[in-house]
Amino acid sequence: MSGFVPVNRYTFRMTISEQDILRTLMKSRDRIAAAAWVVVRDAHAAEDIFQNVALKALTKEVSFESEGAVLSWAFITARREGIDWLRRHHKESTGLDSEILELLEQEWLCETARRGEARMEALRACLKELSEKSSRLLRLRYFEGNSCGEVAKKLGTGLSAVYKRLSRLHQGLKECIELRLDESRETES
Amino acid sequence: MKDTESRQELLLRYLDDNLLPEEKAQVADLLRRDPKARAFLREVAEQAVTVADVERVKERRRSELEARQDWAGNRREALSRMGGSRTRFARWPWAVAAAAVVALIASVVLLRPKAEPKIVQITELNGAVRWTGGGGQVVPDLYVGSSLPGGTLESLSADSWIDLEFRDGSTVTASGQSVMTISEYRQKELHLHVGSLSASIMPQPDGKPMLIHTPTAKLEVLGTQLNIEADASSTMLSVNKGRVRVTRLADGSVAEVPAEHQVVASVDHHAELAVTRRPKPVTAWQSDLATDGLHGKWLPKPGDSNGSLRTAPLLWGCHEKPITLYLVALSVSRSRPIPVLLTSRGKLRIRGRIESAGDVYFGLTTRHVKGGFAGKFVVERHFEVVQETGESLDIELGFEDFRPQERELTEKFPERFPDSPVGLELFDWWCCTINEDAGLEITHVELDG
Repeated sequence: MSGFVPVNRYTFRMTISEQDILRTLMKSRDRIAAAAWVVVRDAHAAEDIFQNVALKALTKEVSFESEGAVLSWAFITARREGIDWLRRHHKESTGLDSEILELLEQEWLCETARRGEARMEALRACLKELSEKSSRLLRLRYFEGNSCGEVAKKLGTGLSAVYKRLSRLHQGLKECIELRLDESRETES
Repeated sequence: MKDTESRQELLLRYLDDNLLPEEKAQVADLLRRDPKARAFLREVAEQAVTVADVERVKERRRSELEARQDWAGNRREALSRMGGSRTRFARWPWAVAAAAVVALIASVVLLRPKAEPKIVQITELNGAVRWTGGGGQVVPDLYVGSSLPGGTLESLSADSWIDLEFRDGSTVTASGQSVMTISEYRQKELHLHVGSLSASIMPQPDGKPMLIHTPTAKLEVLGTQLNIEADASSTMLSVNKGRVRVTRLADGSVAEVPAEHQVVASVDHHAELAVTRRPKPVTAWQSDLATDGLHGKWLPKPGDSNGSLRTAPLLWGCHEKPITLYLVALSVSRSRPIPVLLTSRGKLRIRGRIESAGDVYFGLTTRHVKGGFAGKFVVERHFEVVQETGESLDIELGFEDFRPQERELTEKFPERFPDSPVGLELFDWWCCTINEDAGLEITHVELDG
């Protein structure tokens, strides 16, 4: 669905509707939340930031001309919201300068929405296949928001062992996602 | 491989805020020039938010389950305090399960709002009913079994009603066009902005009575069965069981209303806040259209005290394709706060005019003698119109002509929703045409018992 909004007295430009804005944001939800997470490193805050971005997109006065414009605006807004969140919670900044954050956002933007959705679906399936031990480690670190030192204490292990296990887990999940995507491509072809 | 692992561990230590200053510079440099390092960081970020999301869904499922168990526990406890038994609704488990699924989908697929404590559950509803939550979220499609947090419920048309149950088993029924806000922070609170409700309130904890606010009064309820009608200028309270403390807002005067008594608290502070014994019901009633009109357009007749009420449109039904009712609705108690009993000998006489041919539906809203919504009854009549100027309408309806509007409810709960209006109290009267404005005008409605 599309609508027309006056740009000035004589010209009109095509804009995308609220439904399309919301649909676009929902398709890229995990990527936008992930971009916010890089800034705040708190998964619940990242989710709140995504919700704020979605609300702003629907209530802001400026209109969007394309899905790309929505996403580009969403990543920038998520980053700004993340920085505001850090300030409000008296937390130190990530130390990453805006150049690096922009590079990360560009790479997220280059990934098509369809591929992004398929990756997320594959990731959810891969998470289901994890052992209870691995699931617990991820839950403690990312859902409960414990530092790796706190995780190490709870698991009765050393800090460097936690970093090693996390590194292997993330790498393993990445490989699982790629395998699943390859399999689905083969099935399609 | 070793390099890759150590790079990844360095990034994980960066995300854990566990780096020396010189290592921070190293990470920044790595991320600036190495696409693989950025890909790993993006991978970790995506995995982190997805892990949290998956866990949130699991948590929500767990809390839904706990809430259901908690709800059942509270209800059993309250019932045992009362020492009585209550009707159990057969659809309850299915309705709760359906509501839980709907709530879960809404919370996961949409914007995952933060969980608010659920205060009431819908146990039955009919017609157009809308709920607006604390955050301004409007929900037009409500279902039996839905659990709601604090918010405002609107019963939108003359033939709509909704039954709510609090966690302790207290029940509230709103019917007709009513608007009320429900909350439960330190104690149960209900703001009846306009309309009517019947309530059965379980004994409340000491020092925490249920508070019912209307535009003209504040009611403190410890455990009782009562009926309230409220609008901007007055509140009519009728107590069937227990005792209610009423404060008239106009002057702060207070009265205790015991069982079988009633009181009217209006904006007129010169009038006495008189608690009177609930009058014996009468079997005859005559409309005062100018005062009793709940819906319709009042058309005064110049030089005559009698005018007429013309139907006014009302959109009805939210679930499917809505229909437009052209409706006149009258309150039976607004001009005289005396209960009107429907008897087997009673006849309703209705006079008015109709401009075009069509089916007209005549309806009654009833309540039980001791209070409590008892259902709506309806009868349909077809009118032919020969003259271009319209036809006079003058009909008499016996109560044997009326059938329950919701036959299914009568079959399921025959004691609560009888199949005849005889023996019930008349609460309001209405008539309408559906989707076509037949130019219906009512000039007189009378009940002869």
